[in-house]
Amino acid sequence: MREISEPTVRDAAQGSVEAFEAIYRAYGPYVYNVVYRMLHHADDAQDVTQEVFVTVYRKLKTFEFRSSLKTWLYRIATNLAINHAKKREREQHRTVALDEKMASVLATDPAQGAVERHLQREQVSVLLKALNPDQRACLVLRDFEGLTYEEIAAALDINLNTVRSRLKRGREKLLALSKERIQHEM
Amino acid sequence: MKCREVREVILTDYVDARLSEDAQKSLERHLAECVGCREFEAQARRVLVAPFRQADRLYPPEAVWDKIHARIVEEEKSRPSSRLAGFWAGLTDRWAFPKPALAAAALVGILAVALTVTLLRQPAQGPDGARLDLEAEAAYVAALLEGAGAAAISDSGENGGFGTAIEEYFL
Repeated sequence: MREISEPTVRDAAQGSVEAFEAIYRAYGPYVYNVVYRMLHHADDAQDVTQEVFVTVYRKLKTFEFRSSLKTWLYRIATNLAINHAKKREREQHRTVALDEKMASVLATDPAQGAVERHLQREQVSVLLKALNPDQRACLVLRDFEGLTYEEIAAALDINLNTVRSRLKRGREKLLALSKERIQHEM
Repeated sequence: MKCREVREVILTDYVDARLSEDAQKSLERHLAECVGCREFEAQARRVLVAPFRQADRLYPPEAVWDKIHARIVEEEKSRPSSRLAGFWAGLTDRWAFPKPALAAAALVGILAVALTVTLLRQPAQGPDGARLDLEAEAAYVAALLEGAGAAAISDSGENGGFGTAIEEYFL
């Protein structure tokens, strides 16, 4: 990740669109990645990424450099993505669509080579949707973004024990789903 | 370590490489002896580690920045641009009082002004006292006028034009 200097952040806070674009170019892919893994839906991920950066632009004046800009961005991104995911999950038709997709994933034959890897990646994304948004946020930040437990705690504004417990429960569920898949194949 | 504890550690600190050297050795000793936990560990690696490591990094399409850019440019246009507005914004930024505190201060100020005006307009005594004061003032003015008349007369008199009683006293 290309680091953004403090003067660039201050310029962006004063309304410099060029400085703000530099922030977007440096952090946009990370934000999009987190949001996409949280939502597993390209259009939603693009909309939420857009909201994240418009929110950042409005609030940049209040950023006091007490945490890193990256952590602050992850916090805004995960908050908006969690809210979006919870809202979506309340919508019945999406739940039905997920169940159907989950069934197709569980029925997938783990083929060899590139196809297998592609399917495996796809399965991970779909299986992640079986977790609740709070557990999913922890797993995405840890397993896709490589954040430490301390960084996750700061980004989600929770304590270390909560990070550990959400990771544990989320992974237990992934293992259970994986076993279910194996039994389905047999 | 019991199997339940071992499996909890596998799902968190072990998978995430956060174990101390001693804890790692202790867990490995348990795995060497326990077939169930060894299978659990292998499955955790297969399901929880490998697929995530193979994940591609995704990039947002350029249209996302275009939309963000359009929205922030629009917001910049609607921001107050006059010098006065800028000055006011600077003041409010610098002294950002909470709204209830500001309202309370304004109310106290208005009450203080109203009280002062009321007290100044009110007579020092009651209506009778006021009438007495007016009568006394009228008598004093009449006496002055009388004195002035006397002085005017005495301008041509003995004391060389110093007609008032005070002047006469000092001279």
